[in-house]
Amino acid sequence: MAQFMLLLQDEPTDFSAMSPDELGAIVGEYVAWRKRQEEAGRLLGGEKLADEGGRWLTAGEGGVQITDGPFSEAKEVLGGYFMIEADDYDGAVEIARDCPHLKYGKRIEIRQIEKH
Amino acid sequence: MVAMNQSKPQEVQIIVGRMFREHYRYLTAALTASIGPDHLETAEDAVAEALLRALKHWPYYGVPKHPRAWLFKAAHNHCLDRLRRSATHDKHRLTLKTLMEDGAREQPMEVHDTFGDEALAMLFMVSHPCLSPDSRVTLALKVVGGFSVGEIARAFLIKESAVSQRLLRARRTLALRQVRFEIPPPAELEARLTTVLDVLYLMFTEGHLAHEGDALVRADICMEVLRMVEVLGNHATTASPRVAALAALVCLTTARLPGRTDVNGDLLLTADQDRSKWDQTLIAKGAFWLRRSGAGAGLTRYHLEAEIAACHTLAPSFESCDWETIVRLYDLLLKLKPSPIIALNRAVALEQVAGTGAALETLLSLETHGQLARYYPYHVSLATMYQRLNRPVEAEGAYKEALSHCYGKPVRAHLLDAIASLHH
Repeated sequence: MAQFMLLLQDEPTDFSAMSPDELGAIVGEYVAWRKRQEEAGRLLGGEKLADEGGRWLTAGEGGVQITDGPFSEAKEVLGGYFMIEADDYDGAVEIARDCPHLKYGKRIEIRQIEKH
Repeated sequence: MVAMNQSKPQEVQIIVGRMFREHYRYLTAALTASIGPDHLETAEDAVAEALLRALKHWPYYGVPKHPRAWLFKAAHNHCLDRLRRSATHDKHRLTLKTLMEDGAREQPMEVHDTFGDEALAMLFMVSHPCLSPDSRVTLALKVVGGFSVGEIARAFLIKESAVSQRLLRARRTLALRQVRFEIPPPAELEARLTTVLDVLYLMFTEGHLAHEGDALVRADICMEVLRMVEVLGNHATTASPRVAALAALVCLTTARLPGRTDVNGDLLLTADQDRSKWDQTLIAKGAFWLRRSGAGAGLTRYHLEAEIAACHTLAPSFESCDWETIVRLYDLLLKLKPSPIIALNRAVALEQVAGTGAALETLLSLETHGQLARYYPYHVSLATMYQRLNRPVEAEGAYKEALSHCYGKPVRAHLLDAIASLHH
């Protein structure tokens, strides 16, 4: 069994005009997907990243340069990740393909974790 | 609260989906109780923010063990932020202090699965007589019903900006008049209950009879009204025969909703409806509330309308309805509440008792009411009666008049079909 990171890229969608019913329906989809992975024993972890750009560090001429990362209004921002278990990329794709993030977010990136 | 960890994913999806509107209405009431009715908009916004935060968090971490407590904390924090930023007035500082004490107390929100007195207080507040009837209904739909501005606009085919404006003015009026957030004291309760029932009745008739807006939202509005009337009917301080009568009316009318449209979403005449589609559970509930409504001596319009609904709903077929009783009930109703639309409904029932000729005469005598001139069901009734009397020219005229007063696609399609069938 291999391990994979699912990186959930967000785009600046305004959900604020949605009704409680509409929001509930979306959250329902997400938590159901997550539960299915959990019950199948495939979910190893997952966390949300804070809604701000974070910090970028680069080595510059005068030393370490620290800048703010992109704002959440930027075209795409990493919203969070899941760590899952699957046999191979095909397996990981099957898991990710019915994640609601494909409907309500921008993109899901899958990267295999290389074990030591 | 259903134990999420024991439910299957599909079940969780449905439960979570249904709970959000309930969270919204309960938390808005709880927060308003905490920060005061003049901060109603802040409470509404804070809860909306909390739901958005759930949208961002719960996908990664799952549904929290105590969802409502989680949401309350998020909404509470948002309130604190908002009020802190504008805490220049003493009034705000006092509210802030209360909020912080509340937060420290960590109320066990999960215990409150029932509606709660706060939500009832909200219903009374938004139904205050100082607001116009339209404003009361709109505000009730928003904060008691948990519908969004968009949903309200789509249900009644009005502009979202118009809905927002109405809400803004209504909140401002409530703040200006310093309307209190409470279930009214016993001395005022009867009078205030009258307006609440009026609001619920208006919400229901607009939700049920409005033929043109978003059908799904309107069905939700009917169920929402039913829920609220039942809460009133079961609550010690507000339970009374007239509340039971309204509950019966809502149950018995809502029960017939599933049969109202055909597979294409087109409206069906009552005579053509498949009665087996009617909701038997609601019919049974309606009968229960009808019995309860007979407890007192008072006769309200709700009693009469509930009886009429019962005649329709409890009959095994359209033909076997007790039309004579229905007409007599309409006679009584007209005495209590003279209204051209009730007179129209009476005339339609009269046709079954006294024949089309007599009914048509009655309908035509109502023409002097300006209100009916723009009410397309009036013209449709005229048209169908002309048709049955073999007067197709006048029937077509009436159908065309109806068309000029209605905008919704399903009904227009229905009317155009009817005109076409006159020419075959």
